[in-house]
Amino acid sequence: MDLRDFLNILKERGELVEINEEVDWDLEMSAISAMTQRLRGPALLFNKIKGMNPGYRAVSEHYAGTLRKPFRRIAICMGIEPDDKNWFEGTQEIAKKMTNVIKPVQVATGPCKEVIKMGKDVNAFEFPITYGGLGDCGRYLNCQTTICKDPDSDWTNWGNYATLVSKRNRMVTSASTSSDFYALLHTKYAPRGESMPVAIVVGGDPLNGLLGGTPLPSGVSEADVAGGMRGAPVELVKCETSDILVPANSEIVFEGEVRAGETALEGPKTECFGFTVGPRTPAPVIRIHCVTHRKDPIVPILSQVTYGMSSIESIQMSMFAAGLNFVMAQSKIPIKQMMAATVKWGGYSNLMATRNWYPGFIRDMFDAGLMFPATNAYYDVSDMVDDDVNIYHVEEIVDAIYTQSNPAKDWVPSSACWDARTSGGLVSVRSYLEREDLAKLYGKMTVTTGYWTRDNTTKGEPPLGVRRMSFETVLPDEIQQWVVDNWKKWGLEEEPAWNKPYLDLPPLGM
Amino acid sequence: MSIKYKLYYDELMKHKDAINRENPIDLEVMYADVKEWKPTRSLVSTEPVEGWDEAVLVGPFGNSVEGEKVFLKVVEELSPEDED
Repeated sequence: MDLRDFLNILKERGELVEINEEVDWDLEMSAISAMTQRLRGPALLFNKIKGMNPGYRAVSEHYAGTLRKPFRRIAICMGIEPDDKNWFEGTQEIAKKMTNVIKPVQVATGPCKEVIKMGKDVNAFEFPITYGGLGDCGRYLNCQTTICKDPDSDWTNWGNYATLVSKRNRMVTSASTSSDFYALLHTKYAPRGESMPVAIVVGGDPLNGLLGGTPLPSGVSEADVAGGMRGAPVELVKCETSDILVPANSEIVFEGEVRAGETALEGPKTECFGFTVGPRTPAPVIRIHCVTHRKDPIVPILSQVTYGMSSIESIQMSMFAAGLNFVMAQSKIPIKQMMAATVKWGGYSNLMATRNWYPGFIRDMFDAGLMFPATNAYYDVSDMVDDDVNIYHVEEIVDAIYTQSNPAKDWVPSSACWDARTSGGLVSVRSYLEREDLAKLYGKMTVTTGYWTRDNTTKGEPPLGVRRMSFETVLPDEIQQWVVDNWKKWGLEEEPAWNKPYLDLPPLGM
Repeated sequence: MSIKYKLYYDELMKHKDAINRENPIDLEVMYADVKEWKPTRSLVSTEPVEGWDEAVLVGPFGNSVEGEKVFLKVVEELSPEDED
């Protein structure tokens, strides 16, 4: 599947609308995307963009969910049928697929090589890369895959980092200092006095963009996982100016290099964390030497302007959750399920259901699971709940917090301070940081300044043996049956939810 | 007059003593049409000047991030475009 196959299926199923009137990449595409996001509306394909060559297009909200079918577009992307699964079922399917790996294969050429431009002919501004919001310091590629390679093994890392297009042949990455990008640059290339080859890939299989943002452990090649999830090897072609292999069906490939120590100011920008991240801070520069692309490329966009079931949140709910489960399955911690909250990207909650609770469990879980860079970089608050609480229902989580935990004892704070691999830009900031805190951190390490783990599990035997107030626990069986039997007779159309088992699963690490 | 440049308030304030003066300052500006940053040597004024261009300041301005305007004359674009 490539991006075009995916968009065709979305259109066939009524999930995509094409806009044929001219729109501007300067704020207009972002504004239309923000409104459709707010309305939980369709994905949008912009077919005519001001100042762009005919045929140069952009698409947004192609991963987003709707109220009725929050998982549908992700399911279509993953090839999961039927496509109307709920989040729990969907995440289980994704996590299962992620356990397979199929190595990619190299092919001679592909659609991404239809046009090849080098040197002076490179101009990133010729593509419909959006200017997303007032205050943004420039045009950002935020739905892309940055590819870099370990020179000492066959590990190739795919990462999704919002990337500023600062000049026609220069980009600036906002990769976190806790990212594999930074790790490879500063532990492998810089000590050898070498620059790091990089490819920034736009479009291609929509699964690739999701994997780039999934918290897989270092050393795992996302291309292997992508092949496993598709059931077929990913086809890769060699870059023109380096040995990096990129997906052959990409829309655009920017080929370049990063020289250790070469930085430019990046930010501020509207960010998925819910605020404009700034001030401008030094971040690595990517020198673009070559661009290859399809004749009529499509640039995917992830709008970060509003909250709700946007593409960003959908990615978090699906891939992040599946990735977290993948990571926790490596441990012996008896967590049954982990997920990332749907409320806002940036991981203000990282929810899990568990059993076999023992004293110190929270600390073990924190140390084992949440100290992985990919997870800890994002999550400020983690909530642990009993295994009969549906962690996909915010109401049940809130109920557990307020009925099962004592803030004085069960809310465990920790200051997680990341030992950055290099003194780089300040990233992964939080909106609650005061200006004086930001000033202290400027140009130094990435710091997550506050970390809470809340134990919202049942501590003792509750009165009357009823742990939780629900239809099933505080009403007699015969009354429950009477309601269910008469539901439709009362003119109510939805099927009543009664005795729905949840999480009938073994713990992840066992 | 349309906005030709964007300047970040915090960064302009690093040169606040040079505003409304006759000596140009080294200032990186964003060209608003393409959203490209270029290093320049420029004059900055808080009042309109014949032949100068308008720049909008980006910063915390009440409920908006874009607010006050200044007037700018790019005397020189510094350093040619980086070669590969």
